Amino acid sequence: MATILFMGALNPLAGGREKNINLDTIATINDLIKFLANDAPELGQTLNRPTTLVVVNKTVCDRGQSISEGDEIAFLPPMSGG
Amino acid sequence: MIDITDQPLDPAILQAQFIESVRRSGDNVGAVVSFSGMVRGQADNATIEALTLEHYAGFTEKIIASFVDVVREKFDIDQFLIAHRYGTMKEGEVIVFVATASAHRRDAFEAATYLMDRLKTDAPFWKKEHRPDGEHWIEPTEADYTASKNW
Repeated sequence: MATILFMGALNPLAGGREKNINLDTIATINDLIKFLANDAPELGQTLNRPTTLVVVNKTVCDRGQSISEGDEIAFLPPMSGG
Repeated sequence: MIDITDQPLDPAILQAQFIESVRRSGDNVGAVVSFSGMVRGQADNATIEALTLEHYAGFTEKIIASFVDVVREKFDIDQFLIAHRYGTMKEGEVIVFVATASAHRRDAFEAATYLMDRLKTDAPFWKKEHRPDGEHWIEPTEADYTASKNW
């Protein structure tokens, strides 16, 4: 299983902040986004936006990044602190 | 020092502790600048009943630490403090407190401004306003992005 985190405005689109997903047929972030888009097309579109940052094990990655069981994958919409 | 917390921030206490720390350090500090960001009661003509900030534990701290690395390259800064809330806050509560200490005022002011500009657009926090008509996730404004890019 991998842990997927959907931060901020992605929470409602994903139906929650965190999901655990079996990566059987999922090798990359692009595969993961396609998998998630099957059930939630709007989420898929948002995850593909250039403004959505992909972070794997707390390191920023591109969507071609390989992922493995045990990874923590976070999708970050535009950030706003302060 | 970087402190990401769900506990209330008291700027008076934080400033006093920061100045005391500066005094004890033996650094040749002649200027201390601080900024407090607070929850507004209104936005876009709507009442803000509360504000929730989400963060990404471990990653948020890592990214803010990278801002500090740049601050130390760009400005002559001796010490700094960044304290940032997460969780749910009401109007008037302090979201963020930034303090910088330098030999001279210009570096202290500019370092504090730089840190705030980066925090507004590049720090892993997400803001949700609770308004009478529901919850709204908010993003940085164009002015925020412009301020951050101008550095």
